[in-house]
Amino acid sequence: MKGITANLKLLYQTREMWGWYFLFFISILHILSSFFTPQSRHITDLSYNWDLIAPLLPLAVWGCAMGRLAASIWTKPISFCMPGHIRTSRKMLTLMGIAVASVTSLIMMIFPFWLTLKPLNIVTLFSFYLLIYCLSVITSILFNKLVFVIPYLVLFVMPLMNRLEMLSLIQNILLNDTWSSLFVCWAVILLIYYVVGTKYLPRRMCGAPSMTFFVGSEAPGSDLYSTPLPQNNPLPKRIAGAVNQFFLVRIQYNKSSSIVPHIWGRIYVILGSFISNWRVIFFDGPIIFLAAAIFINSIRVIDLQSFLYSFIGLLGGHICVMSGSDIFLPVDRRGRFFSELTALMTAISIMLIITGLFAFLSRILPHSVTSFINLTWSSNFVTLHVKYIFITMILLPITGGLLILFRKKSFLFILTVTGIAIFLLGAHYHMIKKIGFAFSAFNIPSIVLLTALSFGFYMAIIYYSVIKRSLFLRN
Amino acid sequence: MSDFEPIVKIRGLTKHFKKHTALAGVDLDIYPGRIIGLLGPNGCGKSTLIRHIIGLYLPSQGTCMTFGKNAADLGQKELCRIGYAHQEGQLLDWMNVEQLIRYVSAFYPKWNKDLELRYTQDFEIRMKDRVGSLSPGQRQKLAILLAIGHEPDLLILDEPASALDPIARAQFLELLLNIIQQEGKIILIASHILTDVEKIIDHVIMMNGGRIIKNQGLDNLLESYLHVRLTSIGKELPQELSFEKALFCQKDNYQALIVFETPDLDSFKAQAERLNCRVDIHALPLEDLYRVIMRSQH
Repeated sequence: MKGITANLKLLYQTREMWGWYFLFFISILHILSSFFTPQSRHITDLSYNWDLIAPLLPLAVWGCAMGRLAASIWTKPISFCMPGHIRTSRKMLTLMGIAVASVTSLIMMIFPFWLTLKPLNIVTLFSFYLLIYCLSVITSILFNKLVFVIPYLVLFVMPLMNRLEMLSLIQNILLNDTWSSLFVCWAVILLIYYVVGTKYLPRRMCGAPSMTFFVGSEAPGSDLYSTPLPQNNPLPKRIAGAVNQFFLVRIQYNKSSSIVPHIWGRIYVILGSFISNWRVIFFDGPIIFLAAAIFINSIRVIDLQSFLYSFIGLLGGHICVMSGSDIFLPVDRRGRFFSELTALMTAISIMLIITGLFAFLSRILPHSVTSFINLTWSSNFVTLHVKYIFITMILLPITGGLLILFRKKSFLFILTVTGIAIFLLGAHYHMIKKIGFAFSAFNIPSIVLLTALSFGFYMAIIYYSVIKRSLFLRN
Repeated sequence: MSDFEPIVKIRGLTKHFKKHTALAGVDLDIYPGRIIGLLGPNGCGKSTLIRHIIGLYLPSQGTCMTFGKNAADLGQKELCRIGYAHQEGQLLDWMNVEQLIRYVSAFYPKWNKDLELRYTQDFEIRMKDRVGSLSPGQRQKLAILLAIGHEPDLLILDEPASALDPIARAQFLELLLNIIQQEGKIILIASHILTDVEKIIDHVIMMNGGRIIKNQGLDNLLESYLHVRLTSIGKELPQELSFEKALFCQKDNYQALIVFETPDLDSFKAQAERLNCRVDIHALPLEDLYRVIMRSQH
């Protein structure tokens, strides 16, 4: 068996790949559904549609899948010494990229409408598709620790694809400025091809935890109930002295209360490294937040409010599975239970603050950045309604609970949740509008009841997983 | 490359991780046909040194040449001659044992199937077990098989036996002894289980604080340190006992235990006679010697 054959076998050997295939399939379904809806775009006028860019999402998902596959092997030190492994990985990545870009270009060519495209347009399209694939590969490798966000991003981008008018701008550039498009595409593709073939990436990734989304994480601390000794835990070293002091005083074992230290400990783990990093507080954080606010508010999100709040709820659930407070204390099961409960409350507080700030920004931004919008998006800002925040409140405990339950066996959970969420929230823009309408029909008693049920569900899950179940979970 | 040229040649190797210096100006030559024990406390730079040899880390200063080539640029030809078992035994968990062996073997021009078969039988590794479900000891056994399957010229084992039970450790040592019988092979073992290592190594490299503090043959090293028991006959030993070149001295009223580095035995015996003491001289086992040397460093 040759190296390339061995690498191709990986495409079906790992369970994570089947998760990616599922996401890939869903994203193709989404594209097809948007093609065949009655409200589909004006296909006769090239300047007002983006059908050629439509495969962007499946290509990006495919690129992420391949990038993650390569990364999961590069993180293992054994692969670094395997002769020719890096080149073989590059060969496989290239092969997969060319295959998927060729198939996509061919589909675009045989679509009856696109018969009018010139051969050079097909070459440009192929290059653009390959570029998207390559960018996804390199991004998913470089942002190893953020891989869990990718499926959510796919979910988030799906309904927005129908709204992003920038896509038609890109399409026009590809069709009209063929040579410059080709030049840019191939310059970036060749650069990525070169980087992937050097030892830089394997060297950077070797020994790093292999972060996976679909089959649970190998990151240290992903086994929540392992209790590393304080001296081995890197967290206190990363956190500034004053913040450390503030928290550590409160985490110290206190005879009068065995619960309070765990509550402080959990908050420390979730927030400590963030609030002690001045650059994050005053620079990175605000910039990312502002950019996100402008992006979200400039895409006529008025119909997508329920979706946005659902998205925040799903994403916020991940805070519940961040490492526990027990790294500093000998913890009994009761302490762990309250630590888990604190995680939920902290997650909800964080998400409420974020959504509140988004809503606030959506009111003030239209007065200050109108000119920016005119340059990029043709739509106007809309105001987010805080009343929909109950969607986050209901979904977050459910997501957090399920993630705790399937901490090490997240495959089925992720497939189910992603599938349902994509079909209900992402796949069809009009479905979202209907769900939004359904949410708006909720009255206060029903909201209170659903929220209570959701919290009850979370507490039942943590009671089962912390009090009743074995604390050591094997992958 | 002739047999007299070093396979690994390191000059002034320094490695900084932000403010921490992991290696500080290491010079080292490793010649063919040696079984080397790389010893030192946790965090002394053993694994960092090993990772430079295989090209995984890039030096902050200095050079590291492996098989006559800059270690950072090792090509297919050189990598075929290296076997490396990592201390944490990170493997591709989603595969079963057989799939992993086939995957790794696909990258090497030769693979010893007989060795694979014998090894998996002796170590009771089941081919259909999923790698992720193996115990730490089983994983380590598998990592060792993957490192030796292509019969490397330079076998690097980073804490290879830490998770093995005593019987598996004995089998592992036997396996290494078989490999050693093949001429010109180098085995570099970083380990804390010195009682095992002592049985097979012929050369010792001791590290501390990112520096090499000892680099010599095992016999030579053991001969240069002596463990002496001084027993007073009749009267108590004086309060103050001072001996030239003594690294370690522990005493009570009638007895003293002393460790010397390259002692002048004649003058010592004369001194003992003056004190009216009986002298018993022993060679130190490697583990005790290691402890004494490390203590003398502080």
